[in-house]
Amino acid sequence: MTGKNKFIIIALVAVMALAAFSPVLAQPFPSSARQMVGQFKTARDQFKKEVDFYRSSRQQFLSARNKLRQAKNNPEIRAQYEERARDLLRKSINIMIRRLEAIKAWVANRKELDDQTKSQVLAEIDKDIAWLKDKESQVDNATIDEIRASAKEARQYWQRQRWQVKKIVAQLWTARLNYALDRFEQALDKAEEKINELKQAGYDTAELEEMLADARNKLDEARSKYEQAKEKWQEIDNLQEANQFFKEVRDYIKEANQYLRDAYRKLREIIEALKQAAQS
Amino acid sequence: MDKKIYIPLGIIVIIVVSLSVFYFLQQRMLSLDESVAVRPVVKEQPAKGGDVEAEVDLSKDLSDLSEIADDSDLAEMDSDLDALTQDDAGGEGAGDSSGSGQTSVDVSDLEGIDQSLSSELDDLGATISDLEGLGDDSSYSDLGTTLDDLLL
Repeated sequence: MTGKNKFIIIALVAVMALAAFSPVLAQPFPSSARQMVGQFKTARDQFKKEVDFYRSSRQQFLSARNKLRQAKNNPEIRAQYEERARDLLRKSINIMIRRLEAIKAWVANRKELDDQTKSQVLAEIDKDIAWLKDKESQVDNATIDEIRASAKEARQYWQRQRWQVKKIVAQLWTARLNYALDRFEQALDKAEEKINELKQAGYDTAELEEMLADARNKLDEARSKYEQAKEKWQEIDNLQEANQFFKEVRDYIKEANQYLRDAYRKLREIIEALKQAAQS
Repeated sequence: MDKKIYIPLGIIVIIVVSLSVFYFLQQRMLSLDESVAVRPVVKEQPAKGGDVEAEVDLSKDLSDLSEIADDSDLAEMDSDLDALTQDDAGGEGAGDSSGSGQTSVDVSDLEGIDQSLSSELDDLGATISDLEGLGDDSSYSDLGTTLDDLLL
């Protein structure tokens, strides 16, 4: 073979390889916030679909189990039962994976979270996803005894995930609320500066100052709810109390959100009053 | 066949395959962009207790959340604060308690803050319901029983 022919063959192989890997190369990079938000919605939708798949698989498994109980010695029915058991175990593990992936997609797309919260949550989720995927990969060729063993491990993990995910969500809510509180604090500081400027210019700003005090009170109430939520989410560390504590955190967050909305309405009134004063 | 024919033939094949690959990549990226940009209105199943929002317009969400991700409002706030430090706070209206004189107070930047906080509140509301759905496992709380069933 001549040198030129070798060159042509190598070039052709390289181009073919490029073509083969093109789908990988064409994967979207999270170049914009819009794409990343889309990734969260997609992950959440996949999780919801997985819950539907699980429900369907559970019905099929229960049906296969009833058939087996009526014909224990029928090898064909036993084989069907084992296949349904494999499928149900796979779907059960998949629910847990998809749920974690949805949370991961939400966390990854949020710059409102501080780096420490983000990296801690992502590390925790990645570790769990890796463990679950390992279990999932063993299901296809598992014997019935191996299915039982995996189901036992998955059951133990599920007990932990039930409270752990609630804790993570409560932590994320709180961190997100903290970011909003800081932005409101900055906005009220800014409004106060404007009021002071008017005051120095000789205007009567008593009413504006009163409105600002009202807005700050609402913000303080919101921050108080944030502190309660922050304290409560850290107490979530077992299944027994997880639901109750999770609901409490959610209620604190919702109350804080309501106080922020009240503060926002006050701030809008201040802005309108400032505009009128500046134009007079 | 003359072996020299392989050289031009090889070059032609490389060009054709390369163009095909780039065309494929371009089309794929375009379709991905469209899939993100165009989202249908999705009806969500309300969670137990009716806490979760009944309907979410994903297009609006995407738009709102994009605004949140953009910190240009904050950047403006920084520059405004810088500008304020250079203003003469006393201004022409100093000492004019009637308010009839002109002042140097510019409140136009507060409009930007108003819009920014409005988006902030929308996003906070969306965050509460988005994550609530992931934290609530009541729709598949029988998973533990299911895994127990597999032990039998």
